[in-house]
Amino acid sequence: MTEIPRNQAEHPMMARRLHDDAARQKAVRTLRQRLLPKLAAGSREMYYRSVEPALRKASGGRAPEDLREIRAAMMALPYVRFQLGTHRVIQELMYETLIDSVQPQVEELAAKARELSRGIGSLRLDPALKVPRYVTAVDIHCQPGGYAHESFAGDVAAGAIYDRSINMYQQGAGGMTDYMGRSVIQYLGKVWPQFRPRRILDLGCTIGHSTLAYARQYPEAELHAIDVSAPLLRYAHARAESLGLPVRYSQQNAEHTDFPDGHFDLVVSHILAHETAAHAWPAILAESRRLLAPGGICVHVDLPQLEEIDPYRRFIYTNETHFNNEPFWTPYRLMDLPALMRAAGFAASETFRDFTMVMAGQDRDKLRDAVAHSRQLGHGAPPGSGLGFALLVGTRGVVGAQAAEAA
Amino acid sequence: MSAPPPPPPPPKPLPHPRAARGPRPEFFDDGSSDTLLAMNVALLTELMVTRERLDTLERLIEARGLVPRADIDAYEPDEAAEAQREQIRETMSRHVFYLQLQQAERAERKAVGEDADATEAAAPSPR
Repeated sequence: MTEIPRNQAEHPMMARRLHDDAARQKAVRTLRQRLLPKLAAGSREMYYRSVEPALRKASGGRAPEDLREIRAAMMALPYVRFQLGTHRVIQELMYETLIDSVQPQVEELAAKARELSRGIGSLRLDPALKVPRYVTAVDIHCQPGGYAHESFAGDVAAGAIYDRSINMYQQGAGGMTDYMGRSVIQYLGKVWPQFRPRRILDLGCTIGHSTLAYARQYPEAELHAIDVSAPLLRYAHARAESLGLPVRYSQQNAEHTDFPDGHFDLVVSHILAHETAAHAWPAILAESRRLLAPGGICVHVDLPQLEEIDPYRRFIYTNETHFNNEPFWTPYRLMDLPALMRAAGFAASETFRDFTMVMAGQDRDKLRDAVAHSRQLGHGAPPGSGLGFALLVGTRGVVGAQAAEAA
Repeated sequence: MSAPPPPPPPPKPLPHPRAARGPRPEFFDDGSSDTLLAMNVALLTELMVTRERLDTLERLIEARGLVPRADIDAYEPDEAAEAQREQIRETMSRHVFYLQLQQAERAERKAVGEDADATEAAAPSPR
């Protein structure tokens, strides 16, 4: 059993931080990871002890299902407004403290990114690439400037800010903040233990924090990763180079890449889906299908759909769209994923849904047996909530006997 | 032949944006409550930073063999020190409650029949 550390591991590309920068970032992390869950627990108590019974009584004993009804009743409570207001403020302070610390070193970081490039992997930027509007229209989850902002040629600030934000935001992300990649790898190991991808593609890789989990797990594979943002890719490339891990980064839109048909054995994405758009996500699924070699597997990690969670959690989830600059979060969670997979070219026998998570404090063996929840798409919601990551899985052909077992 | 003038220094890059694009939701009916909440949470983080710096100092001083942390915990101020500390506490509470104290002072002025403060009368109404 390996203990996943709470503190992020420092690497050479990271923004430097002095005593008070570190203290400020950890203060925000404490508020986010220790205080907010306690405040949220109060709202949950109020829902189950008073709001839900009142709604039930008002509708003749019917359990509340209507999200708008739940939202209106919850937002009428001063406690809930205060809790959600505090949640938003802490999100803003996370970036405020990070930008404060990164701003004085932006030019130094850009120079360091150039110096760290040692030719272990590669970086291919496309100045002609048009960053899609769903990335630029609002600054997703309130990161000022968003994913693609450049203040000057060679700027990597967006990457430096994003890198440190992961550990502040997500408890249990691990020293290398690679928990999402590890979750997929664990899933693949359980369902397809013989699977050895020769060529891997990570879509919407940002700073490559998930990508590097695959570099470590499959050192013999050729690993590619794409994103639309040049500053993130510059940072990702320098980060991987400094860690001695070979990744071929290129600036591309996951809706239509320049890789040949059937080029990859494994195509993955990590919380990319909900940051795209209604027209883009189906195109990305179709592109995933096009890129898979026979016997290949694609795994798209996100959180569960609204129909897969209880009504109260739907209220919590959709707050991301209401209060955290995530315009596509709720529309994505209402999408009919089985239908989209079929439209993308996957047969019913080639699509799977699963739930898993590798986090600090949970070792692999003690993890709830995620595969027990495995079922083919469209077979009703799994029990309970707090499922961790939801995996949308597609294969090119029926892959191995394990696929049939899992289904 | 004179040397050509040195090239101008490269311009400093524009600062990274501080405010996220997209609408900022309000959680209270009165928008200033949102601002006050934000200020309070921000002040809490600054207090944590100061407390952490103090903790660092105490640990370094102890590690250098100057003052053990137990001495700090056991410290009892003498009378003069206690009087100075009372001053510090009072000053801080006056600063933090300055607005209410000003309102109290104005109320008192009105109670003794003084004219309204000229600057107050000239100030634009916030509404």
